[in-house]
Amino acid sequence: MRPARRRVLVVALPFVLAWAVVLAAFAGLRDRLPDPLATHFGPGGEADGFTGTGAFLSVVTAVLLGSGLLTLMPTLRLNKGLRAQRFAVTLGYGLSGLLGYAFASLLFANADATRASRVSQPLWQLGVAFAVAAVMGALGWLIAGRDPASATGPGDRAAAPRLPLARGEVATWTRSVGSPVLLAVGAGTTLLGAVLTAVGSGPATWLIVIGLVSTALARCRVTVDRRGLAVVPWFAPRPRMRIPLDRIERATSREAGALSLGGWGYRIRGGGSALVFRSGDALFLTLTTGREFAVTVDDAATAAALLNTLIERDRPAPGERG
Amino acid sequence: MLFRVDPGSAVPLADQIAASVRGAIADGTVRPGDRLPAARALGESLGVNVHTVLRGYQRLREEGLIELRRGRGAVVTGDQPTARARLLEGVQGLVEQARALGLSDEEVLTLVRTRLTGG
Repeated sequence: MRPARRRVLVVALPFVLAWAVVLAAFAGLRDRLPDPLATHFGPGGEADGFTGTGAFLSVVTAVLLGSGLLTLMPTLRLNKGLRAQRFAVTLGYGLSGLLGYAFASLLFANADATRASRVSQPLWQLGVAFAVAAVMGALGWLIAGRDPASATGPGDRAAAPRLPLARGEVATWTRSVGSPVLLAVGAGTTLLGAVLTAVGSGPATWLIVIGLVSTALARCRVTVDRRGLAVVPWFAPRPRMRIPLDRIERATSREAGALSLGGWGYRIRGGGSALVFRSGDALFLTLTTGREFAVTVDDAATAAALLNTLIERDRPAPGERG
Repeated sequence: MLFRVDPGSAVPLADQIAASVRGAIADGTVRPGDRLPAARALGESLGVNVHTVLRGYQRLREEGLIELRRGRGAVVTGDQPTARARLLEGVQGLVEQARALGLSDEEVLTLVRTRLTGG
């Protein structure tokens, strides 16, 4: 089976299974179920909400298949190893376990009740549902971890840009990048906090702190060297964000809009994360986990070329001699 | 900007660091007002002693390409650094060619002086 198709199956499977389990429970209990069903329970476990069987099945189908499709979307879009989406897969397995158990236990609680208002569902059932969710989530975590396959063939790596270095030559690429947006937002937030403090309303100290942090981090220095990639604020060596060379698979550069990367600041998206200062030239790293990291910085092409050269020097691809 | 040093080369490391900066200023990668990386950070990055980096920066300061200020670090000066860096690279080329020809320092200076007075 093609890996892309297998991944879709792995991600969608728990939702389809949960759906099948609920349908099977419904079919098996059909003659013993009241109509409408008790579908909502108060804090004491007594029924306080009711739904017709037809509507109940529609809701079950819509919720399970809908959330399944939502979970699938990044898988279809990214076409990468599932390890890169481990969090989403775990969440999907957990969610389908939670919903599947909740719906099925609801049917069993309704079984043999002549009137739905007599049905009760003790609160501990919720605890069991979360336990099932946890087990399913753990399963999803393990399954996703078995699919590292970053789709990088040796061909991809060979095509990446290089920067020729002499044997024994050491190189460091470094460049600072500023963010007018973060600066403006930070200054604005600080000002708002100061004004609110002066007026004497609310906990405005937090606004000032957040604003100052945003302002301080609005200019950073990006460095590529034999140790990997590092991003530090312009005024101090800490806090530092570092990606070691042995965690980087390859590097490329291209123009990217801030919105296409998810906005300004530190962004986490399905399949990767990004440090976005502004729109324009950006450095993209494919990590060995299959995830992607991007940082917007001028002259990213040189940084990418140096990184690829250093990676190759550090661990030559099979069949190549360093 | 790109710093390259080759410990195996006959050129002193500080001069190699200075040459990297000079090249970056000459080709416009680094512009007036840009700040060079802190000497300590650059030293760690290249695996070079911080004093070696500072010696390289000192040389750039003597050439009028950067200013060194306590607390502000090394900043590229506003006085036409691009043209100045290109000129310095030309001088470097002149010296290298003269050495390759086996000319003495005095002979090189005489050549330059004659050219200067000759207009």
